Amino acid sequence: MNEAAARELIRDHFASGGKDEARASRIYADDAVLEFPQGGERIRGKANIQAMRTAYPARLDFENRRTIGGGDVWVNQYTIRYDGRPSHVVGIMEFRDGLVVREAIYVADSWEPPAWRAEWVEPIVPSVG
Amino acid sequence: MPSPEPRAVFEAFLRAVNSRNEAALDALVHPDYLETHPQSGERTRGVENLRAIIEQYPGDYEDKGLHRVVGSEDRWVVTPAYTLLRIEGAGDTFTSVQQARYPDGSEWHVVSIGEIRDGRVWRVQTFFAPAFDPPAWRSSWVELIQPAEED
Repeated sequence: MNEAAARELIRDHFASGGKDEARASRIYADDAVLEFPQGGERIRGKANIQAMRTAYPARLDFENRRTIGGGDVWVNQYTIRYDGRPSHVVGIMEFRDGLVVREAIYVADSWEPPAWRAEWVEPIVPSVG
Repeated sequence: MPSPEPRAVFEAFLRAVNSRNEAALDALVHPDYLETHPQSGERTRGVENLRAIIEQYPGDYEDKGLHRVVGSEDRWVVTPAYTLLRIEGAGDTFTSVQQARYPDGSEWHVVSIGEIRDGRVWRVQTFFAPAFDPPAWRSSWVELIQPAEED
């Protein structure tokens, strides 16, 4: 997978997400599989992925902070705001023939840094509100 | 001597952390190591701080004892701490997915993005994502993955 092509597809995917799900779904192959492992959920096919996202019962705003990877595997670290409430998200995209054939998405909230390890840790500004 | 494969370095690093094999860490951790926990805004710098945190970890690790195989490129190990489900990536960047069960019984997916430089682990970002009940609103498009067949 050409890096510039992958990054452009990913950029457009996030620019469209939450606004134009047909356009956001262009990144997926027709037989793409999307998984939410935390819920044990698997969605098969671009059409179902698009239908699911179109039905999302909250207003979604995406902010992709970082895309890193190589070859056919690219990982996005981003923020989704569900009706304004932010969550950390990691999405692992696997490409084949220039399109995503498998994506696994993990969603995680912020938490307070544990006091017991504070002396070995530097505080940084959490990347999500 | 050729450098070890970056994937093998990352896997050995995860295995060393999980098994509290601190002796193995020196050869696996880059001098400029930085680990970030974006959810809590914590950054750990250098192998000495990493080692201190491993030594001082207050909870017990628990092995879920899962064995799974995914794809030709994926490696599977079982550790005392977390169960490593998969490592995927290419070049110098790899993502690991582990499952953890904490003493309170809660189940978590632990996702780490590792970058390898000079044959050692240079950057790690780790996210902790809890298991949740599948939302009803999207059930018509979803099939449920049985834990034993997750791929």
